[in-house]
Amino acid sequence: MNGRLADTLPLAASDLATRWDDLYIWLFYVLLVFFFIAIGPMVYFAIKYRAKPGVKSSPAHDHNTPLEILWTAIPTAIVFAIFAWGWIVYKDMVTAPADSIEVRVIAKRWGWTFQYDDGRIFQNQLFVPKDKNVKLIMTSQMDDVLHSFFVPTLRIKQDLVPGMYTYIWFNVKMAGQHQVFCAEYCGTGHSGMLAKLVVLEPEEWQLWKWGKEVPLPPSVGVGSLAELGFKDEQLKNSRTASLSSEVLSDMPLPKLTLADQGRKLMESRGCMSCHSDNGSRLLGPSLHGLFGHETFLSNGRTTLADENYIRRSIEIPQADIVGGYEGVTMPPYAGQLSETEMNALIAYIKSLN
Amino acid sequence: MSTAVAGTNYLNYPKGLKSWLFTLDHKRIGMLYFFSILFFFLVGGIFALLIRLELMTPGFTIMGPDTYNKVFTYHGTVMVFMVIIPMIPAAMGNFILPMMLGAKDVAFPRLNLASYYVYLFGAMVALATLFFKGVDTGWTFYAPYSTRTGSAAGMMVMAAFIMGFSSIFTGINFIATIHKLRAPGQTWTRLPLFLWALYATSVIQVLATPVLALTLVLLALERVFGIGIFDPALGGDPVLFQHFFWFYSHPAVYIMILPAMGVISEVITVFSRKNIFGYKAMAVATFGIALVAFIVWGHHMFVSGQSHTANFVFSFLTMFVAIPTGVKVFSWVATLYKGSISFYAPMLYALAFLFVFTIGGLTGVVLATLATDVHLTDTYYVVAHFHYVMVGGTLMAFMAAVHYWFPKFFGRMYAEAPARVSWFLIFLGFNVTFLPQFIAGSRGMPRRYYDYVPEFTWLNQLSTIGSWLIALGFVIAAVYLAYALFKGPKAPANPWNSRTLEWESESPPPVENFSHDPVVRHGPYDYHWEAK
Repeated sequence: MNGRLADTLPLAASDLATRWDDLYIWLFYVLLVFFFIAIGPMVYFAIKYRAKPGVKSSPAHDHNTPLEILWTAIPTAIVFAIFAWGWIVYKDMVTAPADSIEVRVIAKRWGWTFQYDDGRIFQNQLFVPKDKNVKLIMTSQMDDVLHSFFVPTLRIKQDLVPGMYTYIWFNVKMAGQHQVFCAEYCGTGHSGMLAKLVVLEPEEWQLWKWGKEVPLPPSVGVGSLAELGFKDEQLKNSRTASLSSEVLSDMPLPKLTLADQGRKLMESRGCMSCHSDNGSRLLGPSLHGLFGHETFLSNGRTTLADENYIRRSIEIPQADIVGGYEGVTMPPYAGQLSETEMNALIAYIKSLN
Repeated sequence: MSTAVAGTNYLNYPKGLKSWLFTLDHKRIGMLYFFSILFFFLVGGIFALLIRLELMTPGFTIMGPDTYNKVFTYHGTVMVFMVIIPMIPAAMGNFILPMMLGAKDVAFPRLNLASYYVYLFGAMVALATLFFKGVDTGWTFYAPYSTRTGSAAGMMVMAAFIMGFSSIFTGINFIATIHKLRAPGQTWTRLPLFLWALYATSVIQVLATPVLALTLVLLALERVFGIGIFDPALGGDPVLFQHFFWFYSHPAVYIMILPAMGVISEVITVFSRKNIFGYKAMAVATFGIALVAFIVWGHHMFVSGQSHTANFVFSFLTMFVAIPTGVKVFSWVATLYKGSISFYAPMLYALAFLFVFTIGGLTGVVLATLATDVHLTDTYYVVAHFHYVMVGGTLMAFMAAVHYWFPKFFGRMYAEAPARVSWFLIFLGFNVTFLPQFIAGSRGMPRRYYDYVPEFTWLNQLSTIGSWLIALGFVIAAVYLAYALFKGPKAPANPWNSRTLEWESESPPPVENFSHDPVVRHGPYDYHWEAK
């Protein structure tokens, strides 16, 4: 029976997916019991007490306090047990381990862009190693709409919101190409907005990191019946038209890493004349040791300097002024940087720790 | 109000189209709503069949992706705003509420008529968008998609805004009527549970609908004047739109289901000849659900980018919905105990309601659980869940109500045999349509997908076949109900031997509802009263 029920679920390709299945299957049986507790007597009473000539209904039996307390209290206890288990699994689903490899994801209608620390960019193919923690730092392009990154074999899903970073992480136990769907409605090409999560064995991952060609592993789980899935011509066209480069399994390493691209960009934009990279105070606060630390603001609050804080401080500097820098005016950069450039800047600031 | 003339009733006196269009009679206004809603149900139903037909095969079947996106948007918008929300309160409630109270009309008859025309105007604006290239946002109008897509989306938002006022008017009217116009002896503990349900619904309508109105005004300001509220490119926050939208639309789910629960309470007692089990717990549970309705909206947004702390709180609070809902289901089943149960069409629909609504409710617990929701949200699992609640719950209850009150509405009896065939087809078809969607969803098929991976083909085909069974069931229902309307045998005043006040009057009722001044001497479900 367990096997049968698990058939209604996709392949589970991570420890968390297995834990998700355990919770779901337990929940399914608990609720099935409740279903029979409610509907079993309904069917039984409907048959047993069907109208018969000469038999009248009971004038009593319209309340029973102990019974009513029981069917209030027991479900209460059970739903909060369900809640607790749900929270325990969820907490681990959303808490990325500190040693995670980071990949930046940019969604736009109707394709996915994956930006790596080594400076490479891939379209609709997310290469990751097997058995390693991977964290995605995701956003939707500023002038675009909501999207959602959904991998059924990992039981994970997270919306991508323009102007804001959201996170998701996973550790895949099974090499192969896993299907990625867009799960937040985004228009014409919504159902064609697909990507493959390409999970590589350690040896292949090493080759891939060196920029060498690697054989693509077979597709696994949902979506494996269709290599690039979709039959509809219009969707296929909308998908390829939205992407600038071809899908490749190998790509030579660029000269500059993402952080180096960020440093170069800072130099060319003149950021360095006000922000030092070594802790010394110039006109604005230094970027050294900024990322991931609490920052004191002039309004007395403190805030964690994460991706969202840094992005906001670049785009709308007046929103949060660092304590001690009141009266210093930085020009706003909203709309002046592409998503990939913003990622590079943040990667550089992150590298200054 | 016109005076009663012997041999006349609200249907045939006064005569003429004008007397109907300008009527202040709650019964006629109820009928205007009833037939308008049936029309919009047909429209929404055709869109539903088109969706299912398109999904019969992956890729292009009968339409392209842009057309498909419009079709599901219209299906959702028409069904939610024009059918499911007003279907029981505005159509059934308008007719029955004053009669159950023993009143001559609602407290504010002119406001009542205004609510109908506001509804009709809003609905016309909504359908007029079809001639302006249509709307493709989905019924949730999520920003920033909705602030950037074609101009018709603005009109559709305006339509929802207008129809919201109709909902508020009805709510105000019902609250005032229940407080002020109860017949002598109609104490709060003798109030039929249908009225408790309408009361709780009205509270939600009056308190939550203005938030939708404000949200839609903000959306309009952004679309027209470029004021950044929800669009990040203008400095807005798209997640804020979801908060505002669900702050209304989650309570709206209870606007849809509470009146349905009220109908079920009436029908189950009448056809099992039993007093309702746990009257007070039922009334309290109704208000419990209405109260919790306001503080659980964030459970629609577990993967939206909302903070994990907020998710924790909303998941926790959502669990409270299950408790009063469970109390109600158990109490309905316990009402059957030692009853004398007859299986006329209203009762068949009530039992079908218990079956499908329980599945809808229990799968709601799966979605309220944080971890499980992450995988299942925005998949067909959610689609199946809310159809089990909205169609399996509200529509089944509506069908129960239509059959139960048909003799009172029109003074004629419908034919029982075709009603049972139609019931069976609708019940079977419903499950054939939506059970496979739970499986498709849990296996990872996202919702609002025009195209899908081949693994999901057989599940979609099953679902499409189910939609034809439902359609056939409703066609049969339309035929025998239309026949009964004109040719059915004359109905007695109280064919079901009910105890609530509306059955004390003739069928159909006279213009002034009762030819005597009703006095309430017993509880609403006291089927053994004469024996005492």
